[in-house]
Amino acid sequence: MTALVQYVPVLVLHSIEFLSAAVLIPLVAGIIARTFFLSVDQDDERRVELSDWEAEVTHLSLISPEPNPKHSYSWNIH
Amino acid sequence: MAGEYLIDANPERRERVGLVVVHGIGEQRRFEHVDAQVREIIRAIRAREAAGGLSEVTVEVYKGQSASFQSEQDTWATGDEAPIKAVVRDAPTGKLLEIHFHEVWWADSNEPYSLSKQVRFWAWGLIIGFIPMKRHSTHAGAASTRDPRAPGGRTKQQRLWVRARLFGVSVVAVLGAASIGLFTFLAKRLFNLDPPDFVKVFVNYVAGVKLYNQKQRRGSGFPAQNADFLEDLGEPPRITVRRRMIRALAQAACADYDRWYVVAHSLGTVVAFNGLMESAYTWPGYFDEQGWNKLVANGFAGGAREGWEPPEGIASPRRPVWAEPRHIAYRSAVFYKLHGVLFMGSPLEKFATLWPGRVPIATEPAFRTGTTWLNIYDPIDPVSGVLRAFDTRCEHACPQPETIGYASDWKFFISHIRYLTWTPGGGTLADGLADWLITGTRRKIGPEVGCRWFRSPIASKFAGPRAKVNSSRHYIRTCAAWCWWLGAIIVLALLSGITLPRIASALKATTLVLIKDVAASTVVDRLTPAVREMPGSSR
Repeated sequence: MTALVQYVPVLVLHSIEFLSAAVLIPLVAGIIARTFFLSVDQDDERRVELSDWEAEVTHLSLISPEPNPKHSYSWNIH
Repeated sequence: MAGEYLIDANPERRERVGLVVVHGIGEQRRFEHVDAQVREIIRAIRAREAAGGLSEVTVEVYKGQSASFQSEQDTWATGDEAPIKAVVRDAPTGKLLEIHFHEVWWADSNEPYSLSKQVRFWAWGLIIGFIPMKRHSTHAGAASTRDPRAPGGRTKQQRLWVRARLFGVSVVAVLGAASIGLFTFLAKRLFNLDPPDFVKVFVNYVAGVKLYNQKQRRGSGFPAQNADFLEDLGEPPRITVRRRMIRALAQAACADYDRWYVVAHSLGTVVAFNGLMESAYTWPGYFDEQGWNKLVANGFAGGAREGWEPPEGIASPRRPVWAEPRHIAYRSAVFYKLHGVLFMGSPLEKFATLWPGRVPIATEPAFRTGTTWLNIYDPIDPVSGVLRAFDTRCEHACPQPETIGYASDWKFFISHIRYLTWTPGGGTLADGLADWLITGTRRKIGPEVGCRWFRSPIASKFAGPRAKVNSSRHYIRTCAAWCWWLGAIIVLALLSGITLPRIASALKATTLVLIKDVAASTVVDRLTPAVREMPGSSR
């Protein structure tokens, strides 16, 4: 029983150490990756501001390219 | 009762309904997912009763024309038709109908499990909270789509919060690998036990999400070689996945059902959404020539209208060499009989926040008014979420999603895989889906259906017409989810605290002994010849 009581603080200390390590490892890895490898999207080299980009993609075509689109018929069951 | 609905005697009474089932992340084998889902639906149908009589179901599985010698399992058909058919005589409605089940199977597009895959996965998993946002595609065809705009990711603070939560997932993954992973490893090596390999399961499951964001599929070894499928050489692996989806959609359209549905789970909802939203111009790239010609012959594809010009640039997937420049899919014809879409445990909102370019919304009209899109979520399921980024500007281009809460299970993560689990007593999602398939009305899928159903308060704006429901269950289950996360972190940290010091001290002791042994043997090896050559030494 005494050994168990003595072991609990050690266990808690170890657990906190590993918890800290588990936080630090992805944090450091993420910062390194973001700084050196992922500063921009590698598939997309556009460097526009988010607001410009949002304005760019909010256009609507809304006209079907099909010669005889059928989407205007409504379902009669819901 | 039976005589009135004799199947062969009165075939014109049969309504033909199709169901396209899409699996999520995982290691599903062929037909494994559709088999599991159909079982639950059949159980729900058989439980439907009226005036003391129960509904009847006959299930037929179409077998393949050939089978492997001494194979352990029979082969199912994978042609243009659905592999499973259920003929239903429904007691409450008196209807006689056929339900045909298609499966979209894409698990084989995952990379093979290897050390190389693990290294790449953990590298990605560690930095997932830092990966840049994926914006709208620049490929031809993407011009007729727009990115979703997640309300929870508009300001910098909101995006930071999303990334912080993803970072939390990385922390839990590291803790899990350092505790459960090592525990499993030791149990195997030291005690010759065979515990479930949680790390392998975790890697293979979540790697599906990674795969969806990769530029190429990789094999094993260092450096890992390209392992693209031959027909998708040079295309991202998500194209392979979407190909399966779009071909299944075309199959369902060509089958000429009276109405058909899409039911998708987990990452499969992203696959299904991509398939449904794919632009008409890019469709030919998903077919072989014969398949495309069949679509053209059936009136589901052909030349575009006068005045329409194909978009400039390279499409993804590439336009086939045989495709006419102005040939497109007639999506409104393909989706003409599509009556509804049901998503369960969907990460679509998370994709919309982090990688909106992966889940673009179509701007070409193709869906009929009344096409229903239901999203079922459970706050305890960490993958699922309320769909708020897909507010529809035109219901013909993208049906308005309706998010409905459903208490799938109290257990963390288990809730993710139990949406369609049927239990006696009614009121389950399986009962609701069975009713939807049979009657065509989704009256049994909604917050007022039973005690397991609820409405999310944050979805109220997107809740459709039936939003007046107590949402306390949403808050209770959200609190439960946070408790699960907290509990998982504490347990994993304690497990690490128990396991890792012992492994570290054992490694240290082993290393010291090894060094001593090596040093001693080296000294003996070096000294022995010298001692032998000393004067007076005996040979």
